[in-house]
Amino acid sequence: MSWLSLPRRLRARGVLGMNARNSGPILVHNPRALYPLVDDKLRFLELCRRVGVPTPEVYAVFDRHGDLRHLGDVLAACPDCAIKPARGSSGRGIVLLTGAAVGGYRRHNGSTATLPELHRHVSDVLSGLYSLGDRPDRAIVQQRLRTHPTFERLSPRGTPDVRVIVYRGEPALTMLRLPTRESGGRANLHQGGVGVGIDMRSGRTTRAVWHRRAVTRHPDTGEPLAGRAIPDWPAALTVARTVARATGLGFVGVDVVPDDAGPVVLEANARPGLAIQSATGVGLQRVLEEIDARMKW
Amino acid sequence: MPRFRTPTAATAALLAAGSALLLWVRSNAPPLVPTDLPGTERQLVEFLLLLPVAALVCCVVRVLIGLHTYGTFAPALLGLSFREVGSPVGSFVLLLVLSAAWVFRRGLARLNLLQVPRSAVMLSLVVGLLVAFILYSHARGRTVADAIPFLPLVIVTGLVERFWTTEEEDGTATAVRTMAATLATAVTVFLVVRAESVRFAVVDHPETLGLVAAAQLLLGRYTGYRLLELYRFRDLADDPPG
Repeated sequence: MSWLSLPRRLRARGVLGMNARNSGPILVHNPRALYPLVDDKLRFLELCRRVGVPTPEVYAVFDRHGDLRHLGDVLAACPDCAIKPARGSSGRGIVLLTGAAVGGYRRHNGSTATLPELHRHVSDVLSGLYSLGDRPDRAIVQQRLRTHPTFERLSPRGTPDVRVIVYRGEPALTMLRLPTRESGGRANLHQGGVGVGIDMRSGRTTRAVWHRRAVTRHPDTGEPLAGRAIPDWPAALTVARTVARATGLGFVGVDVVPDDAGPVVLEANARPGLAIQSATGVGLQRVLEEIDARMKW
Repeated sequence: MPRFRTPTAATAALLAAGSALLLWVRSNAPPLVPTDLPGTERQLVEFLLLLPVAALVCCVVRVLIGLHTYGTFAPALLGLSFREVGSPVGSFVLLLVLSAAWVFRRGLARLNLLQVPRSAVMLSLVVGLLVAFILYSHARGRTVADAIPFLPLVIVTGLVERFWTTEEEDGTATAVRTMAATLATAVTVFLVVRAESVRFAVVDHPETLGLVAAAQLLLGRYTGYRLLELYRFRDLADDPPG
């Protein structure tokens, strides 16, 4: 019986479904032609640079298999780095290295990756194995952002980031994403990361979900998740707003990492996921309608 | 919520009405697909006409149910290929090919190959295995050609490749779940296109293609929740609205 009333109750809460997301905000506010600006991380980094928003430093870019012979030199010079596909999605194909180790490089999860293994991985990236639409891709060797001291005890398994959904230039919903042992250092919720809702006004965490269920403590560390203040909260919202407006996309998820020196923008997503609703306990559809009303569409 | 206003419903109604009108007008006329069409042509026409129905099933699975599969229309082609399966041997062969391809993929991972040649090598190995199986059965005095589905092998090797990357990226559980969803969708497609009524409607009366397209159009504008989203967001429904 309660199952039959679920659609009505979800609508009353203003929950946005996938079909509504695709035919509503995405189709109306995200012109297809602008997708490459965020889908290609290198173009996105360039865009951020132009509007003066800080991003992680790029050490090297590989765009041909022939260049892979230099991979050893690049990693020897920068053994603490993130290797990413330029057009990857959902954190796929990202390898985090923390330094040199006997016989190779230490990965973030504590295992060791040999140079031939990394060589093959970058080759897979170039072939487009992790690329949106399976197209040939480029690989970026980039500065690995450190965990902000505030989060060190909360999230020892990887760098947490703040996902800001920006609708028509205004932040709509925000959550903190915490990597877990299971998510392998990545903050994506469907890979086992924890989503912690952030109250937009106060910049403090409210409630959390892990594997789609409500949790109050971090599954690895047992640290309580609610009531934590995000460092430089107003600045984090400002960079998200600046970047979103610069992309021209009306419905975009911007990933911001709180860094010692201020918020750093990691990437943006033209098809932001809906799990943020479970993390914040707030229906996205309702928030978007409120913003629409403010804008007098 | 802003949405482009579109004449979708009207277009769908027009298509459906046109299709129904054609059916009514031609109710006593000879079938559009002539009965004396040679066998191979007939098979091709059948395959082509069932394809949109199979695609419609994939739309329902994605838009109404919310299941994710490897490749949007891979289950459609896989499901259609099941039609040629005459016996349980066919499903045995499919499972054999899938597991063999997975083992090959495991071996190939050590060789540091580029992605496209790697898929090509997998295709060669799978084809070799399949041909060996056919010849072996023949030597034992059995014909298996009827039982072996005309498997879209490129799609099957693609499935294994996607399974492999998903397993590495999102874990075995997700990979197995997505594979199960893909096979379940393919079986659903098979059950639908095998149904005598569907065959009668689509193959004997190709005018119904308009109805199929109308259904696809309407699904294209469905903005309600997917079945699995009701489960996904059930915790939100219990919160007091505030």
